[in-house]
Amino acid sequence: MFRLFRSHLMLSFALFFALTACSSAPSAPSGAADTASADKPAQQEEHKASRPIIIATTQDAQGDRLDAASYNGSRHVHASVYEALVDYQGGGKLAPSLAESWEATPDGTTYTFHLRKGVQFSDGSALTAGAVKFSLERAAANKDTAPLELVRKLQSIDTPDDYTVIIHFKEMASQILLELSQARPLRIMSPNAVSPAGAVDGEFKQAIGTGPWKITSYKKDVETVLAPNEHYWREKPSTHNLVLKVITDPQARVLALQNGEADIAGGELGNIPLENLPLFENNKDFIIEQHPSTMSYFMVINQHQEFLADRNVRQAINLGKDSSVLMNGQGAEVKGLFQPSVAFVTDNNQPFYGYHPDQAKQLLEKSGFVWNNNKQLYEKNGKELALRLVIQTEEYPEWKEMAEIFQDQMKKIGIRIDILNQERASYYNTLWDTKEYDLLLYRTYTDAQLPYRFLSSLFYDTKETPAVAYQDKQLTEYLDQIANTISEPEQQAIFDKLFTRMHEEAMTVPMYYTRQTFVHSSKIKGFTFASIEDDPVKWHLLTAGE
Amino acid sequence: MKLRFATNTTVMAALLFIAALIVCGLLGSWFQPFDPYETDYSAKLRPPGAAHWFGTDYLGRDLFSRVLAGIVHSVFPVFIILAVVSVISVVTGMISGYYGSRLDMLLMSATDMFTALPNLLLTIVIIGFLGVGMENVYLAISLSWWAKYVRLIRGLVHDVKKEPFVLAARVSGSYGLSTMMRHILPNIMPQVLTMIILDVSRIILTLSGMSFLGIGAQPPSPEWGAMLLDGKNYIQLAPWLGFFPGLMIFLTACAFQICGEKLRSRYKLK
Repeated sequence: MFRLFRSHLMLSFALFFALTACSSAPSAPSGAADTASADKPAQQEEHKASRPIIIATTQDAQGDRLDAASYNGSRHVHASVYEALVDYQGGGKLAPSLAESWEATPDGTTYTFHLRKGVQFSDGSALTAGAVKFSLERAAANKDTAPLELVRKLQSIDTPDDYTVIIHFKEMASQILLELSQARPLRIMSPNAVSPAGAVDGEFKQAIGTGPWKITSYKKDVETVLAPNEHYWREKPSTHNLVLKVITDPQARVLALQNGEADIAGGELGNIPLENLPLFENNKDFIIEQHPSTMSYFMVINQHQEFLADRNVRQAINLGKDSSVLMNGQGAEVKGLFQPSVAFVTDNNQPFYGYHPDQAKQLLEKSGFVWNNNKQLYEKNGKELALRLVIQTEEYPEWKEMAEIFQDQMKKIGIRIDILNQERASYYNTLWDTKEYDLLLYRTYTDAQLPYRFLSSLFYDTKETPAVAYQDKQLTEYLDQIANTISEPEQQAIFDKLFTRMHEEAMTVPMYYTRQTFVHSSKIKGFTFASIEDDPVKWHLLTAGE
Repeated sequence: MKLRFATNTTVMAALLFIAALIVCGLLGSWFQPFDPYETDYSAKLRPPGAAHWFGTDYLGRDLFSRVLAGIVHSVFPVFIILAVVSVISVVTGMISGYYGSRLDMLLMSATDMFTALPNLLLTIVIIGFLGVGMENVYLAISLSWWAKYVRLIRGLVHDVKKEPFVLAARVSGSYGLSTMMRHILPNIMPQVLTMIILDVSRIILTLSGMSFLGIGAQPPSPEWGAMLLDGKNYIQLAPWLGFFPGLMIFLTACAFQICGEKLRSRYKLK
């Protein structure tokens, strides 16, 4: 018996040490010390005076490989370090950024950008047309960027003077401005960021952009430290450093906020499980910030599954799910796949199914399914109507509960759902490669990528590369038509038809419209949401009291 | 040095607890005040009280009913796993111990390959190959567990083989299988059973552990480890979600361990 007792004792000690090690070890923010010893001692002195602001993030930012022309690292850090030629303002609208103005020829083959004068990179060099040409050509040379329209249709880039960039395309390019506004990979990087300087295929050395932040230190899987870019042109640079601390477990992020190891967590970069929000409500030490989002959660349907090939089944699933009870009823009323904040979504072009479990059952019976009273579910030819739903909870902790509620709702209309919670990497592998799912919980992209870029990346279907999410000839045709016009009313008319088509065929199961939710310590002041979700907060406006 | 946990009173209590578990598990829904799968969003996260003895979870399911329903998923499979494991290991161990020589060497090196890795690690690796799910967990635990018994059984067989009554049986014409089944097996059975019962609690912990890691039982299964995992997200807001399944795992493991200890002292097993 003593042996058992001893092993229990040892286990408790082990647990105790593991827990205390987690909570105490990284508590001294190493960012302050690291930055102080970085390149410019004189300038860093004043930053050392104010304490760094610590942000909890789900994944490593890959601060040593943050090439603007790549998909390396975290989008949010791309957007903090690099700026775009044009800014996305939501609802399809664009605003000047590094380009003060731009024009396109009516045939959509030539775009001219007039650069802002007096903008400097974080190394002090000036933003010129040459840097823009370098950045875009470098992005085009990266094989990962091949699906982008700018890369597919690019013919040449001219720089008649230091502040004018003219991009020529082989054919009409309608999505260029939206692509340029995204967090990556078409943002502008200094030619000095690579070695040899200015070489399109040069080796990446250091992240040098015009954004409000620069990377000063990076520890893999631990933290990335951002220091203010003193050359930032738009507003006064911050007086704090930012420490992006990697805390992968959602509960650990909650605890980190509570014990002061992190000042801010939330949004997509450091998701706080919604069920934990009550811990911060009515708590004077914390402030909850919420802001509309463009992202929706939805289910990808595998149309090659024998039951899901039947439109009635797909519609029945849509009719049988009740979004209003998801996420503690915090979600807005879900209609079509896209939130009302998404470009080209209007009040009338989002038909939806609503919650009608009886109709769902009728549809199933119409398709020849027979109710099995013993098992309490539908069968066809002796085969249970059972579907496998794949989810992941590392990035989206709320999906588990959402999946369980969905499972319960489907049970009520006689469909059995088997939930498979996969680890992040194998989840993406299931989505893009193996396709071993019947239903898969996923999210739409955000902002300027909606709706066109998102739809084309998941639903564009060719013989060589079948659509990832749902293959439909008609839908692909619509996407082609949209790409072939730069007239907004014409695009709107096609989108109207496209949304209807997606609804009628029940190509997805829209689940939930997200909101951006951040929690921060009340010592942090000046919290302001920015215009795109990939760059969710105006970090440089934050100040921290002691 | 020896702490006496296995007194007659504790053993009785442990036996009673195990008996109650088995009855509750077998009669299932009889004892459950609610359907363990029935959700009620209006009664979410109720603390323990008169209506819901253990409270309700985040989908409004009655925790007491779920904990009871969990017996079938958390305790019963252990018996099946042990049955499989003991059959494999007794057969291998007896053949190895009885026949000796080359066959013994071959079987022992195969066993050593499995014992070289810690049980838990091996289990996780096997699940990694087979994929997530309760059936795969059963299989993985069985595969990683049998080897450690083989050596012990082989040793026991070695000892018994030299006993006069076995020699007598062999002299009077009993060979191989018949000797093993009629003379050796009955004599090593008490030790083997003790050893197995001592391991029940470990397997319960491994089983729940796999579900707690998310690679075992999948929702909406009321497996205790899976319920513990569900409770993790609510540890500050609704601690009862994790407390009761955790308590049950603890009590069950203790009860089997106490019985095992009693048997161990009776059969003088090291």
